[in-house]
Amino acid sequence: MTPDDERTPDRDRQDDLLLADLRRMWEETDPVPPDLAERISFVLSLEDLEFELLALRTTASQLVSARGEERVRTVTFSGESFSVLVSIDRDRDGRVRLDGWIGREAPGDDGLEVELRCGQTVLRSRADTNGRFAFEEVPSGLVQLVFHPSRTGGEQTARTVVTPALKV
Amino acid sequence: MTIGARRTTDLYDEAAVLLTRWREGDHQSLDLLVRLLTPVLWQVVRAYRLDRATSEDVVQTVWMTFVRRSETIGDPQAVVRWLTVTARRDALRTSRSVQRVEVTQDGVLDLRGDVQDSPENEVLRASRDEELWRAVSGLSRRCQMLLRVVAFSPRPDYARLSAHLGMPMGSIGPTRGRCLQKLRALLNATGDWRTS
Repeated sequence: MTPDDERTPDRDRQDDLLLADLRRMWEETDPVPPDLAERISFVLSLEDLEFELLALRTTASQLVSARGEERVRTVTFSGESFSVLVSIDRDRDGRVRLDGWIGREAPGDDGLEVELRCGQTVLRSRADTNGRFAFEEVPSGLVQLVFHPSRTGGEQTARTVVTPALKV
Repeated sequence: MTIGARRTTDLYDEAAVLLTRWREGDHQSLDLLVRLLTPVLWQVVRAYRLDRATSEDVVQTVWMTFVRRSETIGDPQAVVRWLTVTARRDALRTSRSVQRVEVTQDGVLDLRGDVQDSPENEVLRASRDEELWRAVSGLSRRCQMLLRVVAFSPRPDYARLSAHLGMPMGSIGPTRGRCLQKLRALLNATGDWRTS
């Protein structure tokens, strides 16, 4: 054993102090995104928590922060059930439009009900046979897509599928 | 004990109280718990060099797992450990499956502190952080990761840490000590650093 490995109360105390310094340094240099906790609470406020959460995947090397500094954002989500591509456009008047395409592996994608949770309201749409859906005039703030299993015959998705919350 | 250790104890107590209240039906306590511990989980996940978007994802997933499985946490005092262990496991799995390891952003020093102290303290603190940040950058990736995880995983459980960091269990304590020694050497070489 080298002297460096020896544990003494004094060495332990010095290590604790240095770790506390490190903790503070990382908190200051790489702080948690300020609205992350808020977005998480938004997702956790869903009434039915037996859902599948799709994971956020960026497209190519494009940086997509979930905070929306960009005018056009393309975001892909994927999970066990299916993947979905979402494009969010903000026009000159500040109106936000959201277009989505559900990947072809989506079960029963001809009848998938799509909801957009935004704040207190919920917008509803339905994916067409190509898996396309759209929401016009999306209010600014936190939004989240919720895909409900088809209720009218056909193959059913096992459970509700949701995306993480996004800020638009 | 140190300030850091005392703060850790407070965190455990506060989290335990919030979990108990939430279990008793107080929905707001869940939001408070999320606000209290998300910054800690962020740091744990970021230790795995995932980019910011992926790290946000992992932290969200950890909380969803928590809401679904929180009944498996027996003692409310265990909630912080349960969350940090889950965060490490998910971060490790994600870092293996998705090669979205950040290269550029870790090279950018972005000092953004809350302005709570006097301006003089603020400047002093910023320069200390900068010095510390530079010294940490001189450590091996393994040391950087280990120290960041250890710094934000109170009462580290070496058995699980060894699995999450891919190190033999017996080597974590000594490795931690050596990484801290190396860091001290780097700090001494660059200036008149003194631990607070």
